[in-house]
Amino acid sequence: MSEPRLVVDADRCIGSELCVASFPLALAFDDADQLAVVLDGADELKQEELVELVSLCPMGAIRLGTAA
Amino acid sequence: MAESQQVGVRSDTIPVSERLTCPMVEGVPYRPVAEEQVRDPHPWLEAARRERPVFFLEELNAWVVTRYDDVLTVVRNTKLFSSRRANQFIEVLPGAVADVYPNGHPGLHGLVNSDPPVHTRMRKLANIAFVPAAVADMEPVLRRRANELIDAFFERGTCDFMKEYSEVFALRAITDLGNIPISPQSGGLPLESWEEWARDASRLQQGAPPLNSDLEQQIADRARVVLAWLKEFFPARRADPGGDIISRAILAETDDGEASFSDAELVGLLNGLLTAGHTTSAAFMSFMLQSVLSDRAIWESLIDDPTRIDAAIEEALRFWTPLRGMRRIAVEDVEIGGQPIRAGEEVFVSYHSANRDGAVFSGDPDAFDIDRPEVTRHLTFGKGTHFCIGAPLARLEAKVTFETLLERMPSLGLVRDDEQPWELHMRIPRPNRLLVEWDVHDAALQGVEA
Repeated sequence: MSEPRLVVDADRCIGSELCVASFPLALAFDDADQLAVVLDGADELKQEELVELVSLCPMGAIRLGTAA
Repeated sequence: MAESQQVGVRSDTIPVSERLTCPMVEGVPYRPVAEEQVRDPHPWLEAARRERPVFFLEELNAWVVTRYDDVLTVVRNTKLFSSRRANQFIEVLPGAVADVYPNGHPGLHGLVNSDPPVHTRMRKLANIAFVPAAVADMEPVLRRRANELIDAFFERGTCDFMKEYSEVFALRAITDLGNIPISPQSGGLPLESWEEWARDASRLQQGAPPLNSDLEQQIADRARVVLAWLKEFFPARRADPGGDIISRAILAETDDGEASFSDAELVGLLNGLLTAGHTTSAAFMSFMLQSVLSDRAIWESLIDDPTRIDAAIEEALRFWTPLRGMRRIAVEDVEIGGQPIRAGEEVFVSYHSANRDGAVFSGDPDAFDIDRPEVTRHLTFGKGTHFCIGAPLARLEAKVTFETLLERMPSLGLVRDDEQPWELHMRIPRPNRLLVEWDVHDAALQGVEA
């Protein structure tokens, strides 16, 4: 099974929610785990949007998956 | 969101009957500018969370939101709550200062006080400058600065950690990040010019102690010097950029060709970085050291296991909340915590209170506990669109500082200081002195053990 288009590193995510605020259709915030989680909407993002989303994270916790 | 840029602020008086104020504690009303309450407002904030979670505060002319979940609701919802006056400067700048800032204080033109789509453009550009790698690259520089500062006072066996370390270290982190020359470097201003320019920004914000005419004139004079210097500096850096954060900000362009920062926005960005970087980060490191040294067992546990520094940093961020809150303007009529808020009214999201909310932080939220399970859930850096862009740098500064102190000065301890002076700012209070002492043989002992 291939990786999704976006991958959130749970060890690095600090729950800033910058990614969620900027791309609410692609990511949501899991209040229980205090982590950003990737939604199906990430599949709809253009490549440049994916790159921008990755660059948003202050901790570098989001990376492009192999499917991107 | 363009419409939130347009929202007006209600200036009509809220009927007295609707002004539900903070509950009293043992008959004492909440007076957020009173010295003892600046130092410890938590009995009142705890009473508010329990009895009146959103109350009106005359001193801020805003509804104060105290519960964690309500604060989250406000900061997450940029459509209902505008950040246009998040950092509110005093309504009318004093004459001398207004002459220097005819378009208002530069902090008004920064990231913090903007809404989408203006904020989105600026944030994208700032993110290009503030990539994690740029901050990570600072680590060796920070380690060198930390050791240089400690070298300067080590042999004395005592120092004022706030003045001699925290303030200088936090300020140099920003000037190093921007490769800003500091005299005696050629063309540089003295470090004090930047320090005072940053502190002056908080002095001009609502919640600061009152100004007098002498201070107003000093603020104006200092601003004039810095602005004149920046007027020369930005074009020169634009013509000959490097790898520093200011060059990155100047050169930043979005993929769709949106314009880079204007010079006015660059002044606002730099002022914001210096204010946050100097005022809050310096306060944070001293507050954290005070807490960690107040319980010797915590300090010893960090010596035994330095990997616990990260948890100590997060707990100190929660416990002290150096920037106690931000303002928002309700874009439309809304209800928060059971309190109706009318369109145009302002709210103050109290991160300080939310970070002590027992509904989220288990055990005793008023205890400094680096082992608490929710240690990373604090709201000190905000959430979402306006999450503090300097957060990774603030964390790295604290980590480098504590790793260096633990390694070089394991005998470090607090000097009793019953008269410790504070800056009595309602939003950004800080200790103006932190006296510490250590055994000057610490380094020699380390040498023997090595």
